[in-house]
Amino acid sequence: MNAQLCDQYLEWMSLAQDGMLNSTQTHLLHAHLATCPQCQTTWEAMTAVSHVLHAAPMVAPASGFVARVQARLALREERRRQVIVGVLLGIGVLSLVALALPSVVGLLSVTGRLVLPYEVFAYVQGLYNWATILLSSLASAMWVLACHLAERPSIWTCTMFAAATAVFMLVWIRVWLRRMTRQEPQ
Amino acid sequence: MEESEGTWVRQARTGDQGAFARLVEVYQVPVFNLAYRLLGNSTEAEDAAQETFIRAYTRLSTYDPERRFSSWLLAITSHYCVDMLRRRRITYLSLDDLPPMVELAMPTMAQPEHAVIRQQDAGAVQQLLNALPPAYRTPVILRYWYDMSYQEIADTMNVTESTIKTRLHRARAMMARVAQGTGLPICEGEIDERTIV
Repeated sequence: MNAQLCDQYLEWMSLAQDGMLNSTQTHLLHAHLATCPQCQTTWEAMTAVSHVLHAAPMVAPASGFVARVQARLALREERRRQVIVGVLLGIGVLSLVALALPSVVGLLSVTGRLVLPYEVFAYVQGLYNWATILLSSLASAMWVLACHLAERPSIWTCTMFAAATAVFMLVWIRVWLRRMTRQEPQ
Repeated sequence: MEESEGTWVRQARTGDQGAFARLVEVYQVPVFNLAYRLLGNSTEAEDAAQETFIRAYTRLSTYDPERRFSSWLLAITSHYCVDMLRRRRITYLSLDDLPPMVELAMPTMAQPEHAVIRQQDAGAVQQLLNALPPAYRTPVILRYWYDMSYQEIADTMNVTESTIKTRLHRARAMMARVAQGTGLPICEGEIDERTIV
């Protein structure tokens, strides 16, 4: 048999299952089926499959489904609330630390001189100086980069910078979310 | 029903969880059935059905009241389940891997045997559906279990009507091959000619 013709009738067989053929097409399909054993077998299999699918019932969930959805919804809302509170708390704590840091450092520097032995104090002061240099270098680098972007804006540099910032923020958010999820009731 | 459904949707949009619970009550069976037929596993179907309602609740503001609520809900279920299937990187069963399939057209038999055959038949249904790629399962399920027209299926799946025709035709051809390949015995007398109009 002509394979292309059989392909066409295969499409019609599917339409016939849904009652979408007109009487002429139905007549042509049956005439073809009578002369093509391969298509006849396919038609019979397709019809049998349709019977099985039509006969299969709707499956219902176990009783108490609504209550389970409501419980899950409540848990999800609680989780969302906790994440928002956590993020706000994190920002607040960071702001407080940033505000309090100069006075704390100044106080420690004054009292440290009096309380700690000279070597220990010098060591702590060295660490502090090292951290300050590192942070101020990072800040300077960021400032230079920002100035460079402002003076000579290029789409590639801007995109790279935006991508690096996005990655950093995503990592930070992920760490926070993990932290918040661990605290949730299971 | 339509009117109360509209009211419940409006109330749920304002955060009324009681109204939303009524929507869950009404649509739990269609949503669970679609998830079960797509995933073939009741535990995953339960999870998917719950997740569908959670997503519906959180996205109610995006629901267009001009559209049927059931279609919108089934679209969420279908997308979620198809994503799950893709994540699962499902490996389609080859024809040789399939165990012998139960007779699709069943002769009359004694009562106790009926229950066993019904169970086997349910397995046969899932076998047929599992042989299809995820994108082909949804139109088949919406056509056979929800009696949706091609246009309704197309609207639910956000594709054209001709895409649905093609997917249904290919899916039926695949299922017919599975039925033939597994030595499916077809009783000629049982074939109903009503489907030919």
